[in-house]
Amino acid sequence: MHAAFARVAWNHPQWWLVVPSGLAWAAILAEASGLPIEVCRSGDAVSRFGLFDPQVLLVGSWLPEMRAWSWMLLATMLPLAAWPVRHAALRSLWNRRHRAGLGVVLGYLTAWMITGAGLSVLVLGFGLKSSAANTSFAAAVALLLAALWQWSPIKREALRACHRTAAMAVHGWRADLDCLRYGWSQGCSCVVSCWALMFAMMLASHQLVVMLTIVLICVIERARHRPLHRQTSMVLVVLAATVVAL
Amino acid sequence: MATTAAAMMRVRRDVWKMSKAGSWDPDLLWYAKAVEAMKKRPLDDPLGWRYQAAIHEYRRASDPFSNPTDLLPSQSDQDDFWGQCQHGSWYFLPWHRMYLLHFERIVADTVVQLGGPADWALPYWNYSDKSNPDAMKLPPEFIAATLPNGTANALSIPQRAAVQPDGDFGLTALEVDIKGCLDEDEFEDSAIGTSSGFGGEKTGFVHNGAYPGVLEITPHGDVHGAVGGLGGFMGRFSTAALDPIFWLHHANIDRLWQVWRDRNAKHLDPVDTDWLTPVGIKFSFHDALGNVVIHAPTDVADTSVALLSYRYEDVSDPFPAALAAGALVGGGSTVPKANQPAEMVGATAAVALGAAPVTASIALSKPSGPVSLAAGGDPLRVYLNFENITAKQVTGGYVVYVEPAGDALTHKGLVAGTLPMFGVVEATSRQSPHGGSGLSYALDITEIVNAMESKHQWDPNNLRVRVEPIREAPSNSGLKIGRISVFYR
Repeated sequence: MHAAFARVAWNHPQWWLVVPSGLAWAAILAEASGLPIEVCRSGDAVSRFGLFDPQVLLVGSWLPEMRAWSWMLLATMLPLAAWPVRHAALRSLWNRRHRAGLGVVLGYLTAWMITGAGLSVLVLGFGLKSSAANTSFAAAVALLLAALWQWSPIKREALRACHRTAAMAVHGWRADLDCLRYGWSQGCSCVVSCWALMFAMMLASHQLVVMLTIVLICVIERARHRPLHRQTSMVLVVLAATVVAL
Repeated sequence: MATTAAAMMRVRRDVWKMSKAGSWDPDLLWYAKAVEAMKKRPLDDPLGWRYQAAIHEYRRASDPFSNPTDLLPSQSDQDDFWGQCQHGSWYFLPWHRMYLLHFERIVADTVVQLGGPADWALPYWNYSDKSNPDAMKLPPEFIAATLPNGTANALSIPQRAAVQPDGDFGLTALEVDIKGCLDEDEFEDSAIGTSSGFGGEKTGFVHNGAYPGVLEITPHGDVHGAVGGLGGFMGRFSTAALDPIFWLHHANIDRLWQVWRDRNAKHLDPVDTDWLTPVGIKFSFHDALGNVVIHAPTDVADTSVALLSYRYEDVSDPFPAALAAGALVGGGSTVPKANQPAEMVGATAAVALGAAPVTASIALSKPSGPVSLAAGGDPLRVYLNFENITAKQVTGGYVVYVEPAGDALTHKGLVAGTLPMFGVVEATSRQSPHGGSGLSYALDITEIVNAMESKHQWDPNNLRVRVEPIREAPSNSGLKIGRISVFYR
């Protein structure tokens, strides 16, 4: 058993990503099932819908939103980092492989956290979650926006960039920096490819079916190296209608 | 209306044997006439010369025959049928087999329409034939300006590297050495840092993958680069199939697949259903009647089945055991591969390549992973990786030497292999499936290392590598290797 696990770990040094991602999913599912845990529910809205309120720039008011974003990130976007983590780990010296993978993850998550901060300011500043009705409306609009983004040539190029490899230094701080840069680059490509989907997910975070559908779209597109724009945009339009109806 | 030649067992023959038997073998003459006829068909005709070439790849901006009257197929048809060639993938061989199959049927049908025989078969170009001193040259039928009747010869095109009157265009023995690929035991090896196997690593549908298999590197990529030179059709994905010699080159690559399978009972195609009948992947073509056909690799694994109905004149092992000589290049080792990942033990920084040779020194660390757990801590295999090779312009290929310790000044070193640059510009493009990562090659240098060890010329702490252009190389192509690394397994 130990030998079998060792072989899996040797060939898949990215295996440990399952742990934070799995914990995040467990927390999200626990919240969705009604357990008294706050994961994706963010704080009370402070702004009126449609008018930007600069008060949201106070850190305290968007921390709950960033908490929710972080959980969603670990659950949905972290698994997409598995491929670049594996690449960096297996192309590093053996005794540095986990350090290399961690560097990639840190760079990757930094790109997404900065994105999350920006989107949080928009969501809170414009009061997009100021009521349940406004949230549903905003989520539906975001899903339609995501459906349009699926057709964008920028999205297609970003999706290809998500499969980019990089040559990294072997030792020392240069190797660490290269891994961070590679992770950052991968994160930026991922953001450009998937920002609209994540924005929709942020607005519809209490709806599990939206989350799971979006995750499935991301995983399939990543595996295919190209977007399934016809099929996925139709699915997103249907989801938008569902969100409004519910 | 297209007819279709009956599905009989076609025999694909060696073009040089055809040529040496007498000028203008009838099949070569019919090929020339059929190519001429196919060139007259419009761009959007699936049975036309340009459409067939576009199946490999099509770039409107670099279409040498584009004109305002061209009608392009619908976008949907372009998505389904054009730009489909599989490279850097385990689908490289089966896809090109499908491609050649339908091309051959279309040409054969055209031959029949022109009044020729029904059994026309695509010849192959065996440039590795050591019994033929002219093997590495273009056959005269591909350089003669006219056919015997004085009309223009469609097989001769100016868009190639400079060709001498005798057909010599500078192809070297290193570039057509096939012992390395034929010695590979596995069709597919997807472990990072290793050679990807005979046929290429496991991928999904990938038009331009990053890690080609050993056969795809040498002789496939080398011959493309040598024939195309810096500006010829064979040097670019989007124009390669416009050169009539492309099809004979790939017929030989297809033949080598059969040679590889026949020479060793361990040489087996993948049994993975992801290769045999991949889900969600369609390899679509048009048959000789213009009907859409869709294939899976399992359909084309055996050329004797009714769908394919062809065989090669000669699939004998060019390296029978009794006459086995050392590989001209490092080549595949017959040492069994361990079922474990490879370990990187050292690498350089980025290396720029141009017109001059470059020497790189790689500091090697002791392995600390799976290799260190093996008996003696010695690797079973050693691979030299050239990662993320990028270039802004088409450039020529390079040869790699490993310099034995203490021997740098006496001779170039031991040949590890070649680095063909066919596809490097395409792989550098952000439009490529890997977003511009470039090409990555892995050369198996196990036998070279073993030879150096036996002569006490191996330094476990350092490896020197020399990379030299095979022929004149431009200095402004922007050619760069992300790093040169060594992997143990």
